Amino acid sequence: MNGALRRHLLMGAAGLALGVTVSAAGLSDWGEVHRMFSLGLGGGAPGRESLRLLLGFGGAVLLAMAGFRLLARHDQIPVKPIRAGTISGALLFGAGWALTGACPAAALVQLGEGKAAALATLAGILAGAWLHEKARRRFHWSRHSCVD
Amino acid sequence: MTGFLPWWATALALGTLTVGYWLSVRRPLGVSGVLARFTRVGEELDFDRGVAAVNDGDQAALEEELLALTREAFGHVGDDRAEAAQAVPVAAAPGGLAPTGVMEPATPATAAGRSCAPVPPLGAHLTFLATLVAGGALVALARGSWGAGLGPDFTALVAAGPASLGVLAGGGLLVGFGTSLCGGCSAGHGLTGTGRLMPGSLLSTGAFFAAAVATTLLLAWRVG
Repeated sequence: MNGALRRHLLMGAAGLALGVTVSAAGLSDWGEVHRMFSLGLGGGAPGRESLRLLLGFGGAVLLAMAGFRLLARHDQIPVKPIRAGTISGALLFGAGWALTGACPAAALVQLGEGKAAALATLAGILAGAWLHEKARRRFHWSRHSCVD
Repeated sequence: MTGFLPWWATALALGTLTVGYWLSVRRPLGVSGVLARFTRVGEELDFDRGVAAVNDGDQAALEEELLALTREAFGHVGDDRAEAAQAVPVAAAPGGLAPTGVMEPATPATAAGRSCAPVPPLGAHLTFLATLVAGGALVALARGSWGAGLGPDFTALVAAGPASLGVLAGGGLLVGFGTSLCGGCSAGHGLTGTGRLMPGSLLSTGAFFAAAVATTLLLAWRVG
């Protein structure tokens, strides 16, 4: 098979699988994301339902940990060291995620779900990334965003 | 709300996807960095052409793209061929100086394990984002919930009407700027990086989770 076509099919399959998972898990649902970040402390029914996504995400990390150890132990995956913007950037992202109920993947999934308001979120995300690139060049920050 | 995957199915699907993405695509799974590429399309296309030139062994085309990239990154650069030629060895490594990120070592397949693939062309990433949207559409259509709003919780706790669009755009700005600054999102840091115990990812994930919890509790407290 032609290399470009193969790449499109591979990336398409990955995108579709991630999109379906995010949507089916409720990671693109504002209320579900809100309950996840409430840790069962905020409003809404406490207990298992409010911890569903928390356990889901935690379990996924544990599973990924085991998977990488078993299947990719010696693989040359790019490292992610602590950098100057690690904490400040993550704090901004967390606040934005809680407000919009959308991480970057979820914003796109919401759009697919026909949630028109996600267009505003997505416009904000693109503007934010663009602004960071401008600031990075203006103030000579090093470049270290994750490639994908 | 019901109708969502139980926690164990969510964990199984996301965990499998994270590891499966690396094993098949041979790139760490991430979304924020891919999205950011589309805010500088011209430069990224130049980069893609540079990678293609490296792969084809086309030295002249490589110098051309390298010069264009250098100009975009640093403003005016003299059209001195010697200057461009000097820079060639740096980028001649496949996946060398990516406009999107880190200097990646050219990693030949060795006995030590699978190497990281170069950044896919912008078109393949567009397919990735488009199918991400399609995945959401598929589930919403199957549920019969296509076209619903963000839901009553959002309206009650954040904002309703046109004001909500302002909040979403502002929040999106935080997401876009923040993920660019910390170098990853819930996928790149939260799943892949944390799954590999990367220090930057562990710290990022702790920080964005803490900020999200604080913001969420503040929203609930504000409404009372």
